[in-house]
Amino acid sequence: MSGIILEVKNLKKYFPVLKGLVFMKQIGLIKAVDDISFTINRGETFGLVGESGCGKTTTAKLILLMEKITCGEIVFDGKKIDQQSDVDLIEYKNSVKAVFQDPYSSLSPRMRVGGIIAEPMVVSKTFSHKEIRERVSTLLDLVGLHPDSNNLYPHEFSGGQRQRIAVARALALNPKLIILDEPVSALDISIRAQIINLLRDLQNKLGVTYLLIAHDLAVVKHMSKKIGVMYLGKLVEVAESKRLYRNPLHPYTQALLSAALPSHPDIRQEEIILSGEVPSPLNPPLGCRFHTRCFNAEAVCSEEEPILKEVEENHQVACHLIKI
Amino acid sequence: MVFNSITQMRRMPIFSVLFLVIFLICGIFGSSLAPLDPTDGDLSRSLIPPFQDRNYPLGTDHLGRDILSRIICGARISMIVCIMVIFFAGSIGTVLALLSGYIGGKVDIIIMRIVDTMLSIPYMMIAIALAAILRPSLFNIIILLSILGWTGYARVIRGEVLRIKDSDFVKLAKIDGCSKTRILIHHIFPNIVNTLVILATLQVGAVIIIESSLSFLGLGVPPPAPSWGGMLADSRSYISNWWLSTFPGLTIMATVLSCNLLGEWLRLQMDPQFRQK
Ligand SMILES: Nc1ncnc2c1ncn2[C@@H]1O[C@H](COP(=O)(O)OP(=O)(O)OP(=O)(O)O)[C@@H](O)[C@H]1O
Ligand SMILES: [Mg+2]
Repeated sequence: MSGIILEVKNLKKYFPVLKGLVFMKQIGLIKAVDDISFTINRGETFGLVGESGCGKTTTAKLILLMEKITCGEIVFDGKKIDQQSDVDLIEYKNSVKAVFQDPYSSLSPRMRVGGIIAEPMVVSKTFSHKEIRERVSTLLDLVGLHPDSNNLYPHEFSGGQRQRIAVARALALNPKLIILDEPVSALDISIRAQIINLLRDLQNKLGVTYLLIAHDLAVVKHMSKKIGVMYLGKLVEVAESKRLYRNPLHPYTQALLSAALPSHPDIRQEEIILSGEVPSPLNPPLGCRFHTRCFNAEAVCSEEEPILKEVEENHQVACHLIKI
Repeated sequence: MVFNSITQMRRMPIFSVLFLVIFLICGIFGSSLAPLDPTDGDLSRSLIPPFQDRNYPLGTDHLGRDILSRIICGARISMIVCIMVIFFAGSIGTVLALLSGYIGGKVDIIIMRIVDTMLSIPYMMIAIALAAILRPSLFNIIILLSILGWTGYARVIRGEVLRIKDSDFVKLAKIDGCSKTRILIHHIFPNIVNTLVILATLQVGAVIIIESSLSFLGLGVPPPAPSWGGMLADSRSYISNWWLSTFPGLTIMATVLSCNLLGEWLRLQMDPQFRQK
């Protein structure tokens, strides 16, 4: 079964900046996520990349309903997700799980691995003790851990193994979508490939969909079918992975790509060094948010905000300078 | 569970444990263990120095009562007060800290302002004031020390709760649909137990010292019931008869020290990260 599993429409998250102790006064808005839309196909991986602070985690939190949506819609499996109604949410919450960046903080130090993995099943109350026990050993096997691990505490595992435990927990209820928020950023370089391979194998075996968040393109490259590039709360380019690497259109994507290591040491590439700092999301630049650092900005860029438009099949860019 | 290897046993502060076992035995069976009646005085044998009379190995006080027997029986009061105060203060403090830290908002503000207010007044001052209002009795001492003692737990544990609440495993638990109660019981509480044990063992020392101080000031458990602080109080006018103050003083010191050492060891044992090493 293919088709769209998750559709995000005009999603916005503004954090109010408050001042004062008793009578909190709002003095501004942090536009952490500002009007982004994308779709994820069933069984595929959608990569979301961007610099630190551009709103990737906030997007993930919105999809996970951990934060209140300021504006916009999430459509999952054809159904609009309403943050108010509890009834539909249970199914949604069981179908959307997450793995976070820090494998040390994402496992309770006082719970045995078995308990950690079993918790979603225990809470859902639809499994018997025996089923849970069997499922835990299946899951441990699935993520490549020894079945005896379930009696151990998380501190007895390395970072990579902990991330495997986190993945096993995320898989417990057979979710349709797993949000991977920088799943390998905190790991040793040598372990990263293992976890990435594990995730890919699991996808092949189980047909689960991923939203893979990363701040560099190297990790996303090997896994994603589609990639979205974020800058200051906006999506600046969305394209099929291959197209994006072959033909990056947005200047920011070009800069990101040139900063990534080439796939072969003989390949020479010119590195584009961006000048300046990322502007604060508290008062983002008018017009194109990237124009303050763009190397070929024109007058129109500081005046008008570009919208994301399709320039070729499966390739959308938000840039004034790209003419169709 | 805790005692599962020889190495761990080796690190156990054996003297502290021994001393505390003796303390507990004395506390429970005090009156039947004591060689003599701790309240039986006879002025004809008052102020016998220690190690001179075989019947009174630690000497007698100004009323001729056997000091060893009084120390043994005095353990009961210290023990009861400690256990009860730690239980009440610890429970109140922990529950309020969990609510305060986890619910936050107005609940947090109200609870923490109460804590701040109580912590800003010197401990002994409230103790003395309250002890003067309430009639001195064992029950009142326990109430008093519990009212005073919970703030320490509340303050420290609230900080821990805030820290744990923000960690990813709690966020994941929420995503997985755990209820607030489940998160509090299964995720937050187990992670503050360490802190709780440390605070409790530290409080043993504090409670014994305050209880003794109150007795010393005549606001504690009323005489003639033997209590360590009371014995110190009685010895004030007999400074030259050193044994009157030295033996109860050493007992208090040894008890407090043992508790702190044992607490430190327990803390390491209960931390899964240290259990292996
Ligand atoms: N709860 C919050 N209140 C106020 N501002 C917030 C909050 N959460 C995030 N922000 C702001 O929103 C912006 C985006 O944050 P976010 O965590 O989504 O970035 P990110 O892309 O995940 O970065 P990183 O790569 O560092 O994880 C940041 O400027 C951050 O300061
Ligand atoms: Mg992030």
